[in-house]
Amino acid sequence: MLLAATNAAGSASGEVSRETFGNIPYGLEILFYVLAAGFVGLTAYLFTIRFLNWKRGGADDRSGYVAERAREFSRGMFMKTLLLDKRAGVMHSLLYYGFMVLFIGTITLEINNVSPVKFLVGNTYLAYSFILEIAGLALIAGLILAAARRYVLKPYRLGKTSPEDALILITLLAIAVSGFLAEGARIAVAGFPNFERWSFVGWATGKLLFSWMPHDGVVGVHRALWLLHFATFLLFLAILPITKVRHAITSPINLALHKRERPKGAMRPMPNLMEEEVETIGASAIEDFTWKQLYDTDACTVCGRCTSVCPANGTGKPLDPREIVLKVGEVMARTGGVATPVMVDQEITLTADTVFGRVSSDEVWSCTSCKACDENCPVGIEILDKILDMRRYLSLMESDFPTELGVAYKNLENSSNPWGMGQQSRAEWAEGLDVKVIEPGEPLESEYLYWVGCAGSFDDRNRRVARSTALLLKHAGVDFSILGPSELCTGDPARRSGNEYLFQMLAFQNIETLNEAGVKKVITHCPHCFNVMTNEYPQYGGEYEVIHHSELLQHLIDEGRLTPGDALAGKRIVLHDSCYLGRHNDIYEPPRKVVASIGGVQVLEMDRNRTKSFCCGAGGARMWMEERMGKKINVERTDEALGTEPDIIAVACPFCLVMLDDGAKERGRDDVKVGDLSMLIAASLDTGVQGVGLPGGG
Amino acid sequence: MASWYDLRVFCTEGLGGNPLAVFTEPVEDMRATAAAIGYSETVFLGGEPSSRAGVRTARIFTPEGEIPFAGHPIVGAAWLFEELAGNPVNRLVVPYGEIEAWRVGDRAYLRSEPPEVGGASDDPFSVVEALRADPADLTPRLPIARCGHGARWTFVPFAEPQRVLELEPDFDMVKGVAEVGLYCFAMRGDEVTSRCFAPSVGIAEDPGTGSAALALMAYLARFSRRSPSELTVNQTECRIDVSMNERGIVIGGEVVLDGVRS
Ligand code: SF4
Ligand code: SF4
Repeated sequence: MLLAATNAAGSASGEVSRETFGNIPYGLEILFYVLAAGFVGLTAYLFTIRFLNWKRGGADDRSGYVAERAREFSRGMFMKTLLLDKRAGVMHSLLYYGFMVLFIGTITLEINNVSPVKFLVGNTYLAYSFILEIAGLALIAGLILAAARRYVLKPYRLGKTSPEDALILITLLAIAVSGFLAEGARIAVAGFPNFERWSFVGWATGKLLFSWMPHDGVVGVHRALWLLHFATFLLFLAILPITKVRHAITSPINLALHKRERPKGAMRPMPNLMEEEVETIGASAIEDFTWKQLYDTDACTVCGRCTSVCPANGTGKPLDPREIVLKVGEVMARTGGVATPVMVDQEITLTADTVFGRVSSDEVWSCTSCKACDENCPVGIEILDKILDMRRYLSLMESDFPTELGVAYKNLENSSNPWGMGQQSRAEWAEGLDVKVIEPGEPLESEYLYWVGCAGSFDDRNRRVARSTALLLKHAGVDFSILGPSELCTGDPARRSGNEYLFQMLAFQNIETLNEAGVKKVITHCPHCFNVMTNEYPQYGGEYEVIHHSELLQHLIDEGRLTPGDALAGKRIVLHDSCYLGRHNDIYEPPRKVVASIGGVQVLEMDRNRTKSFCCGAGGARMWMEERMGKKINVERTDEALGTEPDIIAVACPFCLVMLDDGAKERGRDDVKVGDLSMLIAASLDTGVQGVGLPGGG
Repeated sequence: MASWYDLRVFCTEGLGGNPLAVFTEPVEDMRATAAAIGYSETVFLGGEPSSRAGVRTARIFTPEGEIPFAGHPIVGAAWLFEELAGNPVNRLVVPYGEIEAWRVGDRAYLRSEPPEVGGASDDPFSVVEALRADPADLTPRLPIARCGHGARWTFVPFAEPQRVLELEPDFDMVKGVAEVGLYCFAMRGDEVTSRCFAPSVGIAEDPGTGSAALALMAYLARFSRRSPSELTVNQTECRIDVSMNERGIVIGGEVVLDGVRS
């Protein structure tokens, strides 16, 4: 049907088939080839200048992992990632598969045309005709659904509708409709041979519109419609590189490029700043981004899934992850002399040749680094990396950061922890628990090092987590020691807020301490410490086997070394996913299993869970910044948790504990307890030991 | 005399604590034996052994005679069971009834339902006089009241920990005003400083009174506006952990075995 598929009339011999350019004068056939070649060339040219634009970015190694890349590419081609949203999936499948079948059908017809042996004959031709009819109908149905979604139903995430969307929908619809019309005319020209009933839409169209016309008239109409159909396809080729339809090509490639040399929880490594002078840190000008970060912007489908799961956006902050992608793309296009997407307001003028001409620092600082955007983007765009690189620039090149963060930086510098507490008091939490502390310069003699983290060491509520964890480890016979005063902040708050310098200062000291003590295995209850030590310390020579306490507790319970009690029987417990455990490290099930192992409890889920879990608001060093705009993220999440009518909100992260406990207090719900996994297990055992389990008993 | 275990209960990192003698073999005259040792309490285990796993029986004697319930002997006995047999004990049957008791590391604990608060009231003036204290040293936020399992302690709330430490009571008068003894305390957050005078049961000053610490929690739950869920009681040389939840009140602390004597 599409293109050439509509061109044929029944062959003179009366054979069941058709001629590719039937009824099309030789001149038009030549024009067809010339224009088709010309437009393919134009499209290629437009893609090439975009390609040159991507090349402005810095290095980013995306080699290797061939099998994985091939798998991701095919997932992209078959839209596996898109189908996660059922409604959008049906719409997009009809549209995309309809179009692809028609496109392949057209190419098949052309192959049949030039091939000495004709294969589109007899039953093969009939089946071919029939399949293409179905595909055409699917395309039209998909387009109607798409238009209905965009213009009538308007789901929240499609909020960004522009003339570009209409242009794309109309072009595709024109292709489908002109195709059916031309087909109808072709069948009419051939005098409605019986076998063409298999092209049932074309047949009906022909009967309806053209059966009354004199033959000469139909011949003329057919030629005109054929030209129209051809023109719509040329239009499609023209808009392919310059509108978001290009994602049909760029997105599967983007998925193939997704896998990178570092784990997904790791930020882009930077050279050792203690030894090397670096000219710019982070990203401001387009050239400061990597080529992949720039390529990403041309793969965006503007679907808005990132925005729909963003906790900052959802609570009224100025940050919109989709805008971050598009704005970087706009600045890239503007500064590179390439067409900006049609939708972009052409009036926008850049105040500077940097992304900060379009992106405000408020946007950049609103991010909690929760990674919900990245994990929910159907085409694998890496949004968080861009934001964090911009933070690096703001923090170290411009010193443009919220003032409260300055206090945290000072505390990290002077006291090696963001609370600014005396390092000497680091082990005080362990009072009365008989925990071994490694003296400076001494080797670790236990199997594990328990890395307590700043929150577990200094924050009152979180000391309970450390105490509960230590008690359970002893209970299960796990041999461990702590570093006490020689443990420093891992540097996570510094790194996530862009202060790479401070991060490296802390990281190098910690790695030296750990390596000197011969530490191999580390237990930690903090997902942020876990992430940094697992994924980022290897960038600077610190290689350890780090286990988060959720996994260790699950393991101990599975092995029968730890048996939770039933003191919490009858309680309703809802689990909140930690971003740095879940999305950054794919640990979703162990915390659930640990909670479920407690005797007689009922485990509840919030609607937004696992990859779609809503951040507590503390990540990305947001813990150390004021939240001045919009609804408080922690209150939003607490409200969601309270909606499940729990007795207890279970968390697996010290910062989630603080945020959700504050949220429950703000809502006046002292009856609902917030507790870390270790606190829950300890509470279920009801040991009587002070400072473990849930506060206030229960 | 049969050999016995010499323990200290409610210690602080190995130091201090309330001495306890524990006999694991049958003894003819328990009362005389307890008087001869002279510790505030002596425990005799396994009077009538129970067939249920983790359940043991015990009887508690002061130098004056048998008492139905006491904190530090039960905590010490629960600790010692695991030390000797490696078998965790989870219940002790004493004349008062069956008490949940268990060991965690170098500590042991017991749980009890909260005792009744109130009943007979004391005359504040004679209590203060017996303690030779200044009435102005008491905190007006809490009342003088009685609370305890069976024998009830009289709780006397002071404003300043220092005043409690300085008390020099008139023991003859204390005998006259108290049902069992006067428990004087002051609070700083969840830290309690206390002293316990019980001349009427033959103990002028008890170094660490578990049953009173337990009753203190019930007393605070009733009268304190902040009703804490965890307390650390510092009584002379002893440190007692107290906590309360829906399942009852738990007291416990560190136990040290000083040796076997005979
Ligand atoms: S990481 Fe989270 S907060 Fe930041 S832009 Fe993405 S979804 Fe929003
Ligand atoms: S970045 Fe990804 S999720 Fe966000 S709008 Fe673009 S394609 Fe959709």
